[in-house]
Amino acid sequence: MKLDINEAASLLNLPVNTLKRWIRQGRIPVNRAGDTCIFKKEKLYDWAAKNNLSISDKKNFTKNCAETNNNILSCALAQGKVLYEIEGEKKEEFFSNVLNELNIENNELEKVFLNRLLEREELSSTGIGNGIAIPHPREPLPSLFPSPAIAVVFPKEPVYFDSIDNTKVFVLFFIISRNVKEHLKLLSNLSFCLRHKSFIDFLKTKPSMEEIINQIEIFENQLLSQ
Amino acid sequence: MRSFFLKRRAQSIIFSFDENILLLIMAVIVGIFGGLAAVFLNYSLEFCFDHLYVLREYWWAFFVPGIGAVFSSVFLKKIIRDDKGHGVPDVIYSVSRKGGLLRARAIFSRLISSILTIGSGGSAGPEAPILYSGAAIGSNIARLFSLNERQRITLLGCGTAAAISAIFNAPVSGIIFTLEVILADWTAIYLVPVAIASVAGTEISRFLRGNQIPFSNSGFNIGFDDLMAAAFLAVLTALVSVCFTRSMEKSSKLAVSFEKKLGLPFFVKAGLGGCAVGLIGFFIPDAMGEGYHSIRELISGTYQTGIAIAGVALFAKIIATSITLGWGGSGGVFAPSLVIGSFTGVVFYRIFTFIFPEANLVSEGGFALLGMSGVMAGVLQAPLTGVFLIVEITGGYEVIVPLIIVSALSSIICRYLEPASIYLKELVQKGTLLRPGTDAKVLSDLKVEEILEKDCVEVYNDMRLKELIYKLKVSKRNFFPVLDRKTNDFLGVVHLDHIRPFLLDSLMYETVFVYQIMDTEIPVISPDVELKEALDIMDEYSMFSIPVLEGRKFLGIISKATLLDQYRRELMVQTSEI
Repeated sequence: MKLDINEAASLLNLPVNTLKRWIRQGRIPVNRAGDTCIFKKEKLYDWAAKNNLSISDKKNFTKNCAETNNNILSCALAQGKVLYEIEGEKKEEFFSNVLNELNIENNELEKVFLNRLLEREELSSTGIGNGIAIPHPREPLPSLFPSPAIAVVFPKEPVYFDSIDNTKVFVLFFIISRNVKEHLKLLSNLSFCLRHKSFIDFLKTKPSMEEIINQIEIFENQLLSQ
Repeated sequence: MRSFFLKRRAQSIIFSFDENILLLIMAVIVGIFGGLAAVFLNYSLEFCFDHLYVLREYWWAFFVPGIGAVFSSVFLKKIIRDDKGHGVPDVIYSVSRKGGLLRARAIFSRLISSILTIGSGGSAGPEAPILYSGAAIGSNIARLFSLNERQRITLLGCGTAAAISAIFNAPVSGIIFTLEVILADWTAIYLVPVAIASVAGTEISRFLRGNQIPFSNSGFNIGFDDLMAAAFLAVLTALVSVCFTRSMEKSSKLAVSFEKKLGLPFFVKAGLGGCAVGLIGFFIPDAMGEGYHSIRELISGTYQTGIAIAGVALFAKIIATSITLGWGGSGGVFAPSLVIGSFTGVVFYRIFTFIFPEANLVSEGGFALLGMSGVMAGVLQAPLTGVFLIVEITGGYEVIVPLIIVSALSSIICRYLEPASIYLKELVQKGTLLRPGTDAKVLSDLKVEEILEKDCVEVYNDMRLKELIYKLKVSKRNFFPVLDRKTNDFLGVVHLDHIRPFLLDSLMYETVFVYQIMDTEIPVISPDVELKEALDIMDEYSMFSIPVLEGRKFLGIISKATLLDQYRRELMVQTSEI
């Protein structure tokens, strides 16, 4: 596998300037063609091992925007889906309908996911009032999805959800994260959005995915500038 | 345009080979050219010697070195625009600071100027100029093929090794001198190409000049008495070496102050120096030129003059060389060291046998060898070079045991009296001697921009404490640069410690402004400062991080934590072999 200088720098967790100097000084194995430098991944690994340099092996070198953490919510939504007109009167029925729509290829995983969602509901309802629910698995499921994702679901009829204010739920945010830290960050950003009444009113119009992402980006930027 | 195509072509050739094999092939090429340059210099000096020697009979002969020195200095300074001096420090400087870069004109600049100086009778050695040429040949061949710095330094070393090997017909000395003095690194990546270039250079010289041992001698039988005497000789050679080193330094300082006081042009200075050497040579001919013919006499034991004359000749040579090189001539200290060393050996032998007539010493010639080795090792502070060069140029392996004693002791005593050798003195004084794998080298390679951290959250001077506390949430640091709201200039920093007392005091939130709590006295650095200097400042103020400013604009900070991280990686990469 071939890497360019920026990819090699992020793999070695080094500034690009240092790498450029090492190339100039001939300290690192590289193939040069004119001004561009190409690293062979295997050679680079060997070399790093010989020099006791640590390698941060991310499967995906293009940085996932969610990893910058600032607009994790909008990114997660972009990775997820918006579903409309989902039927189901009870939680269990409703959840399985949602999961069907999500097209999870691995059946086993789908079952685990459903179970964990229900386990969490048993602890206490995720209906947080104002007609909103944020179902999530009791423990994160890193194997379910490679990056944090959110599915926004609008039921056909409001669902009864044991919410704290006993209102029926008209929108649900399914939060899928890889670890607790990510989950908390998503939750914190979402709660910031939901604190604004305007956002709830906006959700009642059953907006499109694009509109929701735009709206959330505005909120996240606000959060950032504070 | 043509050179561009040439370069492209050269590059395309390069990629079809494995890098290391390619380097070996290049080493051969560099070795051949280095050898050719050495042979050229040698022939030129012989030519000058043959044609100018006859002039010595005339009274005005002492003008000849003066004229030679004038031409030499004008050529070097006005035509080629190169620095004076013997060139070895420049090569070492290039290796430690410039990645082995030398200008193309360096291939012939010192070569020509040293022919003028030495050929006309100036007291200096041809080795340093030829070594400089060889280094420049290696460096420029590497540049033609766009090699990286490590490879360029390797080829530079190949050039110096080939030059020394060719001029002395001494392949091992070429390798050892290069590794010991020029590269100061014994790793295999250097050793193999340097060895190959050394062989190539030697072969070229043998092919063109025949396989002659410069100072061949009949066998010596070394006894125990000789070993004892060698230890005493080492003390004398060390003292002579230090005397020589200091005299060189004094002479060059004297020349500078003389030049300033009288406002003389540089070539008049060189001319005066040359004439002075000519005058010395008028009375003591052994002090002139590179002096190989007198070495021959001393080794074969046919040096007839008495001990007093030998002693005078010794000091005359030191002074003549100091004047030649200090006042603007061009050449090296290699050959003069050998001459001074052989005189030292002979003087020592005569004194020693006078005091202890019963001592069973080998011969006068044998001690001339030992003296050469001692002064060589002392002046260059390179004991191995001292040993192997003498073994090779005299073909006398049987003297190796006392040679080792003299060399090792002499260089140790010299190091004690003069911490830096004649080549390194200037560089050490300027702080520009950076040997591979040392702290200074690592710190000088790392640049501020490489460890600059730009993820600081900036705040403005007119912000209230409340806004600052919001910023705390998004910052990973406890260190906030404060900028001027209007001009964006850097004003100071707010440290978390400054606001900790007010963190939970809501009354202060609205009433305290950032400009009231910021620290404006904090030292700052610019991005082009050397890291060593930055660290010194941080140590002085016991800081862990320091802001970096370009003019008055804030760029980021450097912190010791990140520096350690990078420093360690740099050290690991620098000290490992690819």
